[in-house]
Amino acid sequence: MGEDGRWPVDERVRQDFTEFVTARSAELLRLAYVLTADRHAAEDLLQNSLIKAAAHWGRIHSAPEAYVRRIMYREQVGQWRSRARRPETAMAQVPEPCEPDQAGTVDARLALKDALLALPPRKRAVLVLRYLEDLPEAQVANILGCSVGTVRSQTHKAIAQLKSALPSLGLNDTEVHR
Amino acid sequence: MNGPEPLIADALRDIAAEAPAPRPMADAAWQAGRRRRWRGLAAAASAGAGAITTAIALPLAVAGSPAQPPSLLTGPTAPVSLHTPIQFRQVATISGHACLPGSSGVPGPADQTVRPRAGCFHFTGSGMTVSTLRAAWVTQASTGQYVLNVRFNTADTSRFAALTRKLAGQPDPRCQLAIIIRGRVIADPVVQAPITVGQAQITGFTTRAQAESLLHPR
Repeated sequence: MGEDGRWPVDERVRQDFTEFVTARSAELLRLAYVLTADRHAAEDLLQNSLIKAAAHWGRIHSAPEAYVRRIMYREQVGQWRSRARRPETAMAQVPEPCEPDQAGTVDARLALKDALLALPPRKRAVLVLRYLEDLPEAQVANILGCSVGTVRSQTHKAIAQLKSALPSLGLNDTEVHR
Repeated sequence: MNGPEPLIADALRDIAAEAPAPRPMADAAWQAGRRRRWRGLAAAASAGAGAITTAIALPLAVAGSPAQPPSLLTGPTAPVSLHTPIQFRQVATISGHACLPGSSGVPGPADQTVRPRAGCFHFTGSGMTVSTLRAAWVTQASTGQYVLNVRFNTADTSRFAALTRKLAGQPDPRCQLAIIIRGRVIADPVVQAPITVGQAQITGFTTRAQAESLLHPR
C-alpha cells in the first residue's frame, strides 16, 4: 500500500525511461554543458531535469527528448533568475582580445568559444536556441517562458557582448538584430 | 556567409563537443522522480488530510455562495452547494489522442502544456459525484502556493474513502484519481493511501484568486 511510496509501478514505464536515458544522455549532457559551461553543473542540470521528467514519464508518449530539453532550458533560466550565486563562471582564461590581423580562423574560433562561455547563462541559452538549435524567436520564447521581446533583447545584448570582447570577428550588429 | 550566426553556431558546437561522458543516471533519476511525485500526497497525509494535486485553476462555480467573508481565507466556511458537481473516477487508460466522436472517454485538460499527451481518459468503476460540500476554504501552503480545502459530508466521506482505498497501491495509471468538472479531466493525481478523513486539498494554485474562484459564482 505505499506508505513509503513503494508499490507496483508499471515496469514498462521504468524500462522506457531507462532506455531513453541510456540512449540520449550523452547528447543531453552536451546541451547541459553548453548551457552551464561547467562539467559538474552540467551533470546536475541533467540529473535534475531527468528527475522532473521521471515524475511524469508515464504520461509522455511522444517526443520525450523535446520534453526533457525544455525542462533543461527552463531549469537553467530559472537558476539564472533566482540566484546570483554564480555571477562569473570560473573562467580561468579570460578571452584575449584578438589581434587585429586575424591570424587564423582557428584562433578566432577559440576566442569566440571563450567569449561564449563567459556569457551569463540566460544569454547563452538564448544563443543556443537561436543559433545552435536554429529555432525561430517565437519558439525560443515559448521554450524559455519569456516574451519574444525578451528573446530579441537578450540576443542583441549577447551579440553586443561578444562583439565588444572580439572586435576583430566582425560580428555585425545590423544583421544580428531582427 | 558573413552573419555571426554560423560562427556562433560553430563555436557552440565546439563547446558541446567538450562535454564530459555521461555517467549512468537513469536509476537514481527514476527513483528520485517517483518520490517527487508522491511527496505532495505524503505531506498532506501526515497533516491528517488527503491531498489532491492539480496544477491548474478549476473551471468551477459554486451557486448561492455569498460575498466571501474574510473567514474564507482563514478557516472553514458554511456548507456550500456546488453549481457544477465534481466527479471523481478511477483512471483506466490515458490516450495521447483526442477523444473520438461517440467515445465514452473524457478529454484531458484544455491546456496541453499543463498535462502533455493526455488527450482522452477512460475510466473503470462508477466513481463518485459530489455536489455539496460540508465546507470549503482556501489556505496558503508553506511553498507559497494556495490550496483549496474541501470537506465532504458524511455520505461522501465514506464513498471517497472506499474509492481511494480501491485506487491506492494499484499500478499506474489505475492509481490515478481523475477529477472531472464540466466534462473535462482537470487533474489526475496519484492516490497513495486511502483518504478516510473526508477532507482533501486541491493544491497548486499560484494565486489566491485562482483558488477562490471556485467558491464564487462566475
